[in-house]
Amino acid sequence: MKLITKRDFIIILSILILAAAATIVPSFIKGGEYAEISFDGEIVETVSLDENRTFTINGITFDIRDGKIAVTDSPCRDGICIHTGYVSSPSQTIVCLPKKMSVRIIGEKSGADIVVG
Amino acid sequence: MKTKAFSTLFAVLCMTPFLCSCSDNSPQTLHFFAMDIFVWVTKYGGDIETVIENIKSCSENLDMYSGTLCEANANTEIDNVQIYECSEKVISLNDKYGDGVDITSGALTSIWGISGENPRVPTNKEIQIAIETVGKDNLILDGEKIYKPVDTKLDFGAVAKGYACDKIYDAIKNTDVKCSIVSLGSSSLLYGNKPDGKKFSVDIRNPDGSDIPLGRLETDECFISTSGGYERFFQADGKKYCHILNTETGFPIESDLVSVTVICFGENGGITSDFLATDIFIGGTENLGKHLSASDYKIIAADNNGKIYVSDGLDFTPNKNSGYSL
Repeated sequence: MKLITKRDFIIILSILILAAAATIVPSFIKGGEYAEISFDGEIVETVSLDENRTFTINGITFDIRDGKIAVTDSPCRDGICIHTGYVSSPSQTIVCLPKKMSVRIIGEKSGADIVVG
Repeated sequence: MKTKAFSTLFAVLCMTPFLCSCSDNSPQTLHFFAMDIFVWVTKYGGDIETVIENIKSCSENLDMYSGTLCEANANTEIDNVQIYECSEKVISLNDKYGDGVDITSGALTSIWGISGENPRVPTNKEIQIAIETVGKDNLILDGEKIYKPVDTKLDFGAVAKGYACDKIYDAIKNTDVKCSIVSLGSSSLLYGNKPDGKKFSVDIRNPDGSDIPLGRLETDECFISTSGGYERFFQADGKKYCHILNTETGFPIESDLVSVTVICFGENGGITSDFLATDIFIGGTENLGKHLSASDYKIIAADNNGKIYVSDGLDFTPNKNSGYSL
């Protein structure tokens, strides 16, 4: 009986590849700032802030300009998400309570642990 | 059998990079909606489930528009433990610091629709009727229950998040969590010591909406609450109304301060910082002096002329590009 069968070898190799990918891939993503857009606590989209564009998710319009992101249109009444304006620093957030939407900036800039106010 | 054991061992070894990423030194972040706001919890190591339960229970008990408090407000007797404890704490803060924050202002909050879906300017008559119901002397606390006139409505909007931070602090001390950052919107708890040994860095949001913060605070474990008219307000007939009401006039206050951040240390620091942030905001620059020199709390405030006021002993660096300066 062989110590490692062909099947074992394939399993080990695929785990190794996965492990390597898990280590290497995040370092690629960290290259630029990006934003996580969540609805009700679930991340629905992760967008790069490097490319200028405008898009709509669940009725809320987002605009990415010069490495910053803002909500430019929202069906909510209070418009707090729109008043927040463009954000670009890690740990900054845009929140729309009525739509249970949040945007969080993730990136390498020397961000604070928390933004208050 | 041997083959299987070997493969398993190998697989575990290969998984090490995954397991390492969950070590005590890398923060984990949870986020969810509660207390009418978006909650962020970042923590290093340990289990935090019980801590989160506290946020949810405060959310269920202290929201004027739904749940326990909404039902309790329709009655003359309240025996909810959290409502009782929160009321008791605010009343003792009133005795110490004044009556700027009044938990009996619920009827006023309701007619203005503050924090609700449809804020509006009420009629003078509505305001007069609501003012009649306000005043903490309307409450009797007998050690167990709160007794109140049926028209007097409790509103913990100015203190609930700070109170929740205190509950989290009490709970987190009994876990193996070494460090955590809990953000409940206007109130936050910075707990423990960061694994890298550095102080917590806190950016204070720019009240003008710019993404350049007022500045950065470096601090040890503390509670931080901020009050300002810039985030929650509504407009009617071309006039801006902020969400903080003057319980004497019945109208939203007009302060020459635009942002007030209060930092408190130790027991009850959450509710105290939340209470004081609103109280100091209401008082305006005129009353700022005594707060700047207070020994039991620290403040960072900004006025509508672009001036920043900072208590001695805080490690705060203003951001030159924020439009505000010392």
